[in-house]
Amino acid sequence: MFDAALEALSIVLDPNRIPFMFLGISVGLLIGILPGLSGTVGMAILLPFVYGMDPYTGMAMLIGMAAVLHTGDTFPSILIGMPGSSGSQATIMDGYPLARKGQAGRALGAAFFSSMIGGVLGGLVLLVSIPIAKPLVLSFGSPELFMLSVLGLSMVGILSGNTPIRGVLVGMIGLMLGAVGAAPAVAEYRYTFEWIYLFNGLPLAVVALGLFAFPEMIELLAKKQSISKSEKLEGGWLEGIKDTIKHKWLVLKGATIGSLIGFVPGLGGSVVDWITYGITKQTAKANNNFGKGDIRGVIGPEGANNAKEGGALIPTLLFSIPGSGTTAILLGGLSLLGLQAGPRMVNEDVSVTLSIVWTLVLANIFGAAACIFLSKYISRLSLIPATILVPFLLVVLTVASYQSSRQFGDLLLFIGIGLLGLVMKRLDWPRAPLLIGFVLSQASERYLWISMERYGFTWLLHPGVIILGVIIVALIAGGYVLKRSTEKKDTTETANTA
Amino acid sequence: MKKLLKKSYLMTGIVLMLITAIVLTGCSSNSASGSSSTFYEGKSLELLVPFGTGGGTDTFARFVAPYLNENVKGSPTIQTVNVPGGGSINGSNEFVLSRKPNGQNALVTSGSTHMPYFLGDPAVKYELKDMKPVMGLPTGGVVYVNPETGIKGPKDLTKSNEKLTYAGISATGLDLVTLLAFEVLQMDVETILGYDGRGPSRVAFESGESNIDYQTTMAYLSNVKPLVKEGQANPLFSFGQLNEKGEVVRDPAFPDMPTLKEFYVKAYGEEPSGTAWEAYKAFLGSSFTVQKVIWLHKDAPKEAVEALSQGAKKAVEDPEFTKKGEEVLGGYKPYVGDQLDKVVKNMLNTDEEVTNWVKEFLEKEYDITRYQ
Repeated sequence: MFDAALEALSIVLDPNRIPFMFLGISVGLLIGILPGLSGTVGMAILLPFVYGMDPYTGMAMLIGMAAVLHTGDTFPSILIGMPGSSGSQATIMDGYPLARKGQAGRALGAAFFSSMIGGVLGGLVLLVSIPIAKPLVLSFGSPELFMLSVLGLSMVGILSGNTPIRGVLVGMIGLMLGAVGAAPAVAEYRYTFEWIYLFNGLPLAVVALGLFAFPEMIELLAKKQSISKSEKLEGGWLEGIKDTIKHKWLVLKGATIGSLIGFVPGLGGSVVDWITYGITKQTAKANNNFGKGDIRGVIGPEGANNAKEGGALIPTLLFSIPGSGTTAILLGGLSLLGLQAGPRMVNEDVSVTLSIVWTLVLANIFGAAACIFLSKYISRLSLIPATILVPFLLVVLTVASYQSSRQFGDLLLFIGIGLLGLVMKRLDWPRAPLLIGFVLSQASERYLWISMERYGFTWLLHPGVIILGVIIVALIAGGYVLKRSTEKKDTTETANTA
Repeated sequence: MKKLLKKSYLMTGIVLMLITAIVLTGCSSNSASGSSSTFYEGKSLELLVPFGTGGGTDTFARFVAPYLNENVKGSPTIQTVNVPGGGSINGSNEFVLSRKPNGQNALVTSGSTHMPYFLGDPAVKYELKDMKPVMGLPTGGVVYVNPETGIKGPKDLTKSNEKLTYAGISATGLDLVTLLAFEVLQMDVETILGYDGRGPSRVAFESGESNIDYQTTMAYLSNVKPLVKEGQANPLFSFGQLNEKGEVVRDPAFPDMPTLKEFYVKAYGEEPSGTAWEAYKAFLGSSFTVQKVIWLHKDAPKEAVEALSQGAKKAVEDPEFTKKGEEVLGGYKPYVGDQLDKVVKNMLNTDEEVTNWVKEFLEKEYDITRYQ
């Protein structure tokens, strides 16, 4: 194994292949930086070039792109409060408030450094889990997958601050929006009104952009100011790195959650950062600053979303089960390169798998370094007055929305969801729960349906189900207790000072 | 001044971002070019793929494109354009309704495009009978069971130790062929639909959630064969292929495996017959035997159809096509020319009685009323 790994490294570092890896990295960073474009777009752009390449070169390019996407997408999330890619929005929660305080540099530094560590750890997880992947994947049956979606849904309350009831309501609206389109288990279409655009359901990118980016643009215009309230940008990236080192266990926690959830097939990677954010917040001491600019709210999810990629490759390569749009296209790329995902990837074609691990590690290091270098310049975005910045963003976002399915409906939906988002923001209703409900809607319905059909009610007694159930209850109850005690402490403190 | 400079620097950055965004939107297609003579001289050909990038149909189109460019007289520039949505109904409708029938537009369909057409889905606006096929690609499939069921061959069919459970995706997708096969064999199988794809349904088989499953050729060879070797799966039969006469024959990818027909004969001592069997053959044709088809419009210029058919014929004979396409083509040789016309005609000549029976079958067994 060790020899094979070294050999794979020399394959990856071949001077003829390195340029293609860097091509992948640059496309990944660019796609990440452009708000709303996600890995699917990056893959679609690179795929035609794969044709005729040898497997190592082609994989280096595709994986290079996927690896750094969630490094680059931090820029828009932190600087302009808009999701950089559809799968990564939790960084907005605390990264954007930090940018508004003028600490964009610090937030970016922390984000990139934890992204890098997370990504490298994700690559290592992929490497280590190759021999044990099969029993692990097989231990997640439909009932367990359902419980995992419930775990994701239980974050709804945690993410709604002081208004958990509103969070639950919004989450339900999200579940309903997710139900539009073809039903997962029967050949029926719901709420489509025979409009073909709705047959495939609402595109995640459009919903995410509408919900987060559209209201932000309107608010910026209405206030006629730049994103950063202070004129000066304090706190450089070095400070961010120091923050990350200080919270090293948090990075590790994020990376672990990220690679674990990434590796569970069928859940989709889009909720990884939300789950990590929720757990980070829930288990942090003195967590009442979360949502207002706590650096820990950046470090946790950023560590997770890069680590996710390594985890997500396990079911993709070994079982040919794509966990996301990005990995689905990757499978197509594999067959164009003359490979077939399956057990062969750890036997005959193990050198390709190992070269993928190396590419993940290298791309994450290079990508983060490039981002740190660029952050000095790009973070000035937050100083541009809104009247100049917003028209440009509007065009970028419209193009990005239209990219989702290239139908007129994308634009209508963008505006529709955007207005909904604006109303919610103005009335101070939490928006993250809507997205979580939306993303998990299909998965939770699918796996609940299958579990009931297959096992009746006996699935409730599966050991995995019980373990996950206990975790969910503990998280919810723990949050409640923690909140009560901090509230008490707060009141006593105020009483003391008064 | 310094501030101004910085500002303009930023603006340039934003403009650059914009330009790349716009360029990127338009360039998710590939192209190749050259020149020679006749209809396609100096012209281009657009392959419309009604699925997203990276799926099976897209991969097939992208693989075939450069060979068509090389072998079609006049060497047309070939571009692949994805119009996903509506389970491929969307892009196929767009092809017939708004793409010009000038021979420079072709459509690449798959079994999931043919299925709603046969079932008479109200959203379908394309009439396959009128369109001109130029290349068709078959695929196959194998049904296998968990050894713990005790089923080893045709004789044990009704003597399963445990209840048979099948994990499928949707009754109106490729699963329909499997469900019809169970119907033909009069097997009592509990069907659980809703899985996210054939990969997840295979994982369900491996983890014991189901105990009877099928996989298409490539997936069977790379993922199920190892299970058979380890004694964790017993292959029962292959779906077979529909030949030019409309008969079920052995799948060239599985020359040693009995087809459903042979399996039935061994189990019941007579040839299968009846509406279920006719329905099985009809959907086997459209879902497997001509799983992917490249079409031109019904009123495309004759020269275009001729040039493209000839080019397809030449491409298929190219030894490099077969060699490089092992993974994409799944070891099958695409249908071209007369043979293609015959298999497509077979697939399209389905009795109304048979489709009505299938619609009733879907309603009765799976509560699907959309096609009534």
